[in-house]
Amino acid sequence: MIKGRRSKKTESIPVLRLFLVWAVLVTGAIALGWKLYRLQIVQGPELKRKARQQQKSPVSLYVPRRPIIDGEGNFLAMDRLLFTLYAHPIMFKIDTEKMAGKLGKILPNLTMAELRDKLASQKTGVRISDMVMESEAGQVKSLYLDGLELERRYARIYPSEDVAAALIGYVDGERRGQAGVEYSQQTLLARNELTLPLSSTGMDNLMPTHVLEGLVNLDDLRLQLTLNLRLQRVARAALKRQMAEYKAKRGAVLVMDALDGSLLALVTEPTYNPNDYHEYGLKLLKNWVITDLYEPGSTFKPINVALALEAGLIKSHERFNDTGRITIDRSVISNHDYYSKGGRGYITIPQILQYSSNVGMIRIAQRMGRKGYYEALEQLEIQEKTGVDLPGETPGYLKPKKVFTRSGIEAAAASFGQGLSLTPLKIVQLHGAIANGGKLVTPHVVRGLVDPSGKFHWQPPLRKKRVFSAQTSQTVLEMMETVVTKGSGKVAKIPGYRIGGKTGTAQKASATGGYQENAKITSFVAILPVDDPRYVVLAVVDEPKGENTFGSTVAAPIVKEVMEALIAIEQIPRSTVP
Amino acid sequence: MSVSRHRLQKPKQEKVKKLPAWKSKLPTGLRALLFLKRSVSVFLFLSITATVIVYSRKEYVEGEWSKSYRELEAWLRDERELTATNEAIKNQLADLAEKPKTGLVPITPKTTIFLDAAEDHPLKESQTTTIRETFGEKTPLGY
Repeated sequence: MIKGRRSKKTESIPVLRLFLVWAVLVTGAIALGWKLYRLQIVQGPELKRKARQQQKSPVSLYVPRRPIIDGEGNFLAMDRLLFTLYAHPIMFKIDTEKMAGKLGKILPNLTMAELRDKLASQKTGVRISDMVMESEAGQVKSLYLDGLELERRYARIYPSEDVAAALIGYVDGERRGQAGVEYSQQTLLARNELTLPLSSTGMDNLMPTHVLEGLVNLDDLRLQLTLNLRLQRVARAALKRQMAEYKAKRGAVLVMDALDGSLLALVTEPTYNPNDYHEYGLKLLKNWVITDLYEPGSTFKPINVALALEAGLIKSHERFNDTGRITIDRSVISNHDYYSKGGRGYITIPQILQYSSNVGMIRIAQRMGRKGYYEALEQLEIQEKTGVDLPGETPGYLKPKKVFTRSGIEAAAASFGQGLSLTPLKIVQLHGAIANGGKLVTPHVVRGLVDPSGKFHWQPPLRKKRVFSAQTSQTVLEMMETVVTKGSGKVAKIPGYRIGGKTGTAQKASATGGYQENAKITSFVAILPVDDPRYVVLAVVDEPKGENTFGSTVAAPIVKEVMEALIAIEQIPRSTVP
Repeated sequence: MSVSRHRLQKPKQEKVKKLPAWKSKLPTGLRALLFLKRSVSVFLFLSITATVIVYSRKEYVEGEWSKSYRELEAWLRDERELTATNEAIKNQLADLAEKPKTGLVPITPKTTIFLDAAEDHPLKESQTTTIRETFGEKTPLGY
């Protein structure tokens, strides 16, 4: 029924009205269609571009150069963000006075007057400050003021300042490592900046459209060193004190774990602060412990004893005639105490080391023969690099075989550590072989790439080469122990601990040939504990001034202080067998 | 008004025929189209509802993500600043400690307490075997 009524109604609607409605609707539809066509097809690409430009902004993710930490997790080098704040007064929408007031509250280093002057100085591109901290930059951003611009950059900081500079190194203005681990491990440390085109909403919120792809590759691995910062500090303080007392030119302390060659401390003085590296001369920036050669002197004697024992040419209980002075190829060589003590007669090998007898050592070297001795020295890889993971290593120097074997003087000089030159690091490596049962290990400072939970993701491959038998090294070590208990190394004695050591006071070679009259280099090397040998400690002090300057007086006290700290830090138990 | 007048004037001239149900008279094709129209309407309604739900959900998640990302950034920033400050303080303290005025002494074996390792107390032989024997192989481990 209802339907019937409606049909009647329809019949009666005037055609004109119907047409009008239809026309309005159709015109509207056509107009809308036209607009749609204009927007989508004609202006489409242009509008799309504009929209993208508004929505997408390149977001620089925080990808710092990897931090460097010590063996205990202390940060030695880390990145932080710094900002440069520029102002463009021409674009300000508030007056300059107000702007200065707002900025003054955020930047405590600038006074209101300074800010006002800066803002009035130029219409655009005013550099307000280039040391704006991250938190300050955040506050500036949240002001949402026109005419301010922040430029982000990474800055490397070295919190321990000059404590371990020789080892860590520094990065230059372009963030390239220039020395130390920063240089040698550049590939592990450096990472490219990652900028992702992210979409953002009108409220400046990021939209998670493409984020994951980029974020997945980020890691927070750190480069861990074998260094112990606490030990390093103790070593540095002890070295500085002795250097000041003896007005020495320079000095170094090295501590190595002989089991694997990891360096627990590497101090050189004078040194530099890597935070302000540009204020120092180039000479200070190099690590002379591995770049400079010196004649090791008596610290090389135990190595020679080990070579002769290993070759079976001497027996550990044998005695040698120490005449106090000896003439070889018309050159007279005497003991350092010949004028006060004269000849000592027949003495044991431990006594040769205790008195640091040159004549005794010459007798031992003579047993080996020039050629045999030279070949044995070659076995110690003196002319090769140790392979330490620090830049600029210099291999040691031995005279050419022909020169060495031509006359007896060369072998005689080498027997007490003169006429051949090595880096302090090489001496530590050689003594490491006495400490660890006869193996040449690779001294190194990099333990590996570690994540914050302590799991290693990369570790360097390490090499070991046997040069002495375990028995030889233990015999020599026990001989070295007598140097500390009865000989020239008494200063280094620590009650309750068995320590082996050897002093060294070597004349410095002059540039014109021969030796300098008053310049010497004093050193002391120690191995501890003798009952479970593991650590090698070496102190070298170059050109100490004064009367009483010997390895035993200048360098041994440093080694003692370092060993005391080492015992406490590494928790080395007292020796059970005295 | 004119319609009603017209009706009143000729009440008996035309007999109102009962109209047949229009649906049954419609051609099958048209009916199919009508059915299609109704289905499409229902489908459209559901789709719009679903779209609105999905869209609002997306907006919400995006907002949450953005919020969390900012929080993360703030935390990372705080972590960096804290680490830097912490290391700087440690360095300052260590520098101070080196000065004799502070009264701090370096660590040495004398100031360290070493405890002797405890003697080995070998564990008494456990009685697990006897228990196993008592319960024997006849007793199953579980039922």
